[in-house]
Amino acid sequence: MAKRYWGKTLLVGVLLTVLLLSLARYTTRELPFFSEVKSGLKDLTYPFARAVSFLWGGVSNVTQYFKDINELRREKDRLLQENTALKYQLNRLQEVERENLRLKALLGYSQEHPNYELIVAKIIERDPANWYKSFTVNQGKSSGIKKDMPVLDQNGLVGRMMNVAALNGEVLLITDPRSSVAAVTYQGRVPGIIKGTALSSELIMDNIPLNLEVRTGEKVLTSGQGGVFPAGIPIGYIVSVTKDPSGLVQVAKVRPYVDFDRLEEVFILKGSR
Amino acid sequence: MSNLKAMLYFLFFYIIAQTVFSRLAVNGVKPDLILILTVILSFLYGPPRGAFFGMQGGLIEDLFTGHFIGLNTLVKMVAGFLAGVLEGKIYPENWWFPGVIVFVLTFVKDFLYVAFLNLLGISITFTEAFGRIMPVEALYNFFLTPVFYFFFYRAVRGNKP
Repeated sequence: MAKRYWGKTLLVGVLLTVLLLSLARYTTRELPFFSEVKSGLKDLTYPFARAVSFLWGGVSNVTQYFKDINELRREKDRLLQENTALKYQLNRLQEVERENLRLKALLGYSQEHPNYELIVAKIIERDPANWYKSFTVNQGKSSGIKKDMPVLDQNGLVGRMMNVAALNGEVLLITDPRSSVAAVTYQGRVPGIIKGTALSSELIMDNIPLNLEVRTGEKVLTSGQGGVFPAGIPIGYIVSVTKDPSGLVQVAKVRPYVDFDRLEEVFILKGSR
Repeated sequence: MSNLKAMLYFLFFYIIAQTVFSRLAVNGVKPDLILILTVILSFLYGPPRGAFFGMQGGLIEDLFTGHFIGLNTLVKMVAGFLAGVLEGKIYPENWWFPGVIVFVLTFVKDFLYVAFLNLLGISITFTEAFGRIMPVEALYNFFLTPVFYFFFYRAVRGNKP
């Protein structure tokens, strides 16, 4: 009896495995039907995600507030009250300076690329799976956002719009293993393909021709090939270079400029390529 | 627990995972709430329903992901079945035990998932997956499980474990 049960279970298991793996193979590329389902689900859960994002911001502000108070108390023990007030003011000015630098960098980019418009987008939810790197932002079709639009922050390339719903859109990060970006090194102009590894702090640049020299520390930028990303967006810098196991090409490890774990808002590059 | 209720729990857990726990990543690694819920329900209901619960949870993940539909369904179904096999063999009053199952099944689930992804042409190296992601995720899941187990044990059995 038990033998029959396990036999039946095994048979069902094998059949389901074959069926589900075939379906997974079939949906390697996002099909319009599943894209619509996904957009619908995202729109459905959008109010909740937005509310949590808002609450989270509030909680962060409150915790930050208490941190500041403790900081001020410590300062008060050491310094005069006036000095403490000045330090607080200085902190605020530094914050403004940081913002100023960020906006200047963006302005610079906009001026260099007049065909593009930068749309600010706030991250409202992230993919909970560890093997995929994507997040959802609060800009969608209603703001004119379209699939494959590049996404960046002040430090460099973040990714591209993958799935755009009415009120929100999903960004596929360059660290996602499904992502690939045509890239080139800054000094040597060595071409390669940047691929994600599912790790936030590491990218792979492969398909580097064997006869070309790539140095560690060298900057890597988008090459503009492939038609998705415009040329010249910083991606990261080379950490190490090794020969591919096949022996035909070189592979480099690249550390991205963007701190993906701390991102809170990004900029979508809207405009002609 | 009805299948519809379980489906709603999975949906709720998925939304919580992508809105709250994705902001509480440790070293960039997030817990797998769907696995935790699958294991807890499977541990309380046995293998056939456990596998079905896993399928439900995995399907929700797949539909939200939009790619590779069926991968999470398959992997979570296997995890649910394996966790369900222990039903009736271990006293469910051992509140810490589901955490141990989740810890072990995190490795099994991730191994299967990464293997299938590689089969489908998405390259993720096992050394990095095992060395940098899985141990952190397994520990994170392990510590979170008792919190949810208390709630579900009480909802299913009517008393505390």
